[in-house]
Amino acid sequence: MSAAASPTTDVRRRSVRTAERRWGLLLAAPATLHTLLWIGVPIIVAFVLSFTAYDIIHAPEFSGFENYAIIFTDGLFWRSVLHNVIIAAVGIPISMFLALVFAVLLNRAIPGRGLFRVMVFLPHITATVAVAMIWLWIYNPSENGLMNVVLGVVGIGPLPFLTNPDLALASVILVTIWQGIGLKMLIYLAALQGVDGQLYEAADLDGASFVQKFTHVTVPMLRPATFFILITSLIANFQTFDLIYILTEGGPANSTSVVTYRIYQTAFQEFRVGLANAQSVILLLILIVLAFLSRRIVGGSDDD
Amino acid sequence: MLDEDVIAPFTERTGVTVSVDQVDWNKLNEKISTGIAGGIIADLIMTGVGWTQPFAQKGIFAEIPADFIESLGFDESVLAPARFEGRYYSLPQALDLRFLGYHPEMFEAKGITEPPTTMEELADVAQELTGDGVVGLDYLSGSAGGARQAFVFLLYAFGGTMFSEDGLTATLHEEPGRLALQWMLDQMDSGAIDYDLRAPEGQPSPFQQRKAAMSLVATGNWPTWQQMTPELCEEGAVGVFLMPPGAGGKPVMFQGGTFISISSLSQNKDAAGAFMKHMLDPEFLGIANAAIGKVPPTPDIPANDEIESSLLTRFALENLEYAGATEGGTAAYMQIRTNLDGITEGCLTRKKSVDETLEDMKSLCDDAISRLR
Repeated sequence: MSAAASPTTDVRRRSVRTAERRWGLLLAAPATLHTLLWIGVPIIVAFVLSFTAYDIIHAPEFSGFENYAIIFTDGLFWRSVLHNVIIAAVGIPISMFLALVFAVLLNRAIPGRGLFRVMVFLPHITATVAVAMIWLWIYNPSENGLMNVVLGVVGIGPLPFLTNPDLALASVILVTIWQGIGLKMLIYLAALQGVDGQLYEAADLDGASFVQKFTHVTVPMLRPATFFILITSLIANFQTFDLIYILTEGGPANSTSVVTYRIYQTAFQEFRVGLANAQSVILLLILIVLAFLSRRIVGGSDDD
Repeated sequence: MLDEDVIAPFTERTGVTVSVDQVDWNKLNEKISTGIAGGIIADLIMTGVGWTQPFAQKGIFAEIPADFIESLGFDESVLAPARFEGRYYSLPQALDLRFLGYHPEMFEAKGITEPPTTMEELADVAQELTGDGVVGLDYLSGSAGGARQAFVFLLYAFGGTMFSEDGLTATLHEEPGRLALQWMLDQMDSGAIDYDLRAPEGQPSPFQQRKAAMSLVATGNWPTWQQMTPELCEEGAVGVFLMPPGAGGKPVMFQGGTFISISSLSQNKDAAGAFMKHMLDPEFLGIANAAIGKVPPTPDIPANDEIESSLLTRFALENLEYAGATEGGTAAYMQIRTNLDGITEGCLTRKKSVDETLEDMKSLCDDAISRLR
C-alpha cells in the first residue's frame, strides 16, 4: 500500500534535505579547504613551475617543454625511478606475504597475541629517522656491527652493506620490508575479522584443509584489503625519502638514489627548481599509471 | 665556546648583539638559498671552499675591499678560494687542511726510513705496508673527506686543476684527472687501498685502530684523536707528510675550511663588517680555531697552547704555502659538487671505466656552466 505525500510533507522533506545539504557542505568544508589549499594549489603551482627555468634566487622564466626534454635524457632520474621499481617489486610482495602470514597467525587465539601484535606493528609507528639510525647501527660495516656479527657466525663477512653499490639497494629493501610489515598486518588483521565465519564452516563441512581454506576462502575474501595495501604501498614506496636521506644519501655511486631524493637534489642542491617540479609531475603520472595497473591486476572494484 | 670567547668580547666592545644560526654543512646550501628566496638572510655567512664563486656570481656575497684584505697579510694560497673574477667576496677564518699520516713503528718494521716523496714511492710504500690485516693506505674511508675530495686532492697532486682560471671551462677530465683516478684504481687492485674499509659513525677510523699504516688525515681529526685514541697524540706516535707530487711539481695539501662573507642583502653591513674584522683578529682566530682543531689562515697569531700541542695544526701552519689543492673555481660549482661524488664513486666501484667517468665529469661540468646566467 502506498500513500501520496501531501504538499506539506514534500515541503518539509525538501527543507530537511536542504538543511542536510548545508550541514554536509559545512562539515566537508574544512577538509575541502585543506585539500584545495595544501594539495590543490601546490599541484597547480608545481605544474606551472615545471615549464620554467627557476633557481630560487632569480624570478622564474618560461622555458616551454625544456625541463621535460631534459628529464627524458637524464639517466640519473630514470635510474632513480628504476630503483623505486626494484624496491617496490621486491619489497612490497615480500612484506605483503609476511604481513598476511603474521595476520593469519595473530588472528588465532595464541598466548601473548596482543604483545606479538604490538611487536610487529612497532616499526611502523617508529619515526623513520629513528628506524634509519637503528639500521645504520645494525649495518655497521665493521666486524662489530650487529648484522656482521650474525653473519660472522656462519662465516660470512664482514660486509659493507651501505657502502658497496652491489649491496646497498638490497640493504635498503630489507629495511623497507621490516618497516612495512606492521601496517599491512594491521589492515589484513582487520579484514580477516570481517570474513564471514560461515564460509569457513561451509568449507569445513566440505572437508577443506587449512591450506585449501586459506587459498580458496581467506585470500579471495581479502582481495579488497590486498588492493588497498598494494596501492598505498606503491605510493608510499615512491614517496620514500627520509630513509634514503639518512641511510645512504642516494649513494654509493647513486646506487640507492630514488625519485624523491633525486627531486630533492635537483631542487635544493642544484637549484633547478623548474626541473624538479617537472620531475614531480612525472612522478605523479607514474603513480597514476601504477594505481591503474594495480587495479587491473588485483581486480579492485569501485567498492574497494 | 664561540658565544663566550669570541662573540661576547665583540658585543662588550661594540654593543652590537650577534645571534648565531648553526647549520649542518649538508643543509647549508639549501638554507642560504631558501633564506634568500624568503627574504631572510644572515648578515654574515660562513661557507666553505668552492662556495664563494657561486654565491658571488648570484650577487649574494658583497665584495670585500682589497685594502682590508692586504692588511691581513694572509698567504696567497689561502686567499685563492675567496676570489671571483679578480675580486674578493669571502675570507678564510678556519682552514681544514689535509695531508698524509703514518704509523712510524709500521714504517720501521718494514725498514722504511723516510716518508715517500713521489707518487710512485707512495704506491710502493703503501703496497709494502699492506698485509697481516693492515691496509697500506686508508684513502677512502671517509675519515677525512669523501670520494670527490679524495679525487680532487690527487688531481692537484698530478698537476691538474678542476676548472680554467675564469671558471668557464672544465679541466678536471684532462690527463691529470685520468692519472688520479687510475692511481686510486691501481692501489685498489694491489690491495694497498681498500674501498670497503670504512670509518663507521662515532667509531675510531681504521688509521686510529691501526688497521691502516698510512692515512689521509685532516687537521680537524686531532680533537677526535685526543678523545678516542689519546696515545696517537703523544710525541712521535704519528708521522705526517705532504701529498707527494705526481708530475714532478711541488707536494700539495688539500684545503678545506670555513670562509666568511657579508651578505649583499644585509641591512647591517657596517656591523657585519666590524664583526668580520673581529673574527679575523689574530687573537680570536687562535681561540676559535684551537677549539675545533682547525688551522688559522695565518701563522701570525698569539701563542696558543692548544694549537701548538696539535701535531696536525703545527704541520699545516708550517706548510701553508702548499695548501693549493682546493675544490671549486667555477660559479656553477654548487650544481656540480654533489653529483661529482656519485660519478667518482661509480669509477671507484668499477661501475664505470676511467674514460667514461672523465666523460661524465666533463658533461656534468659543461652542462652546469652552460646554465650560468
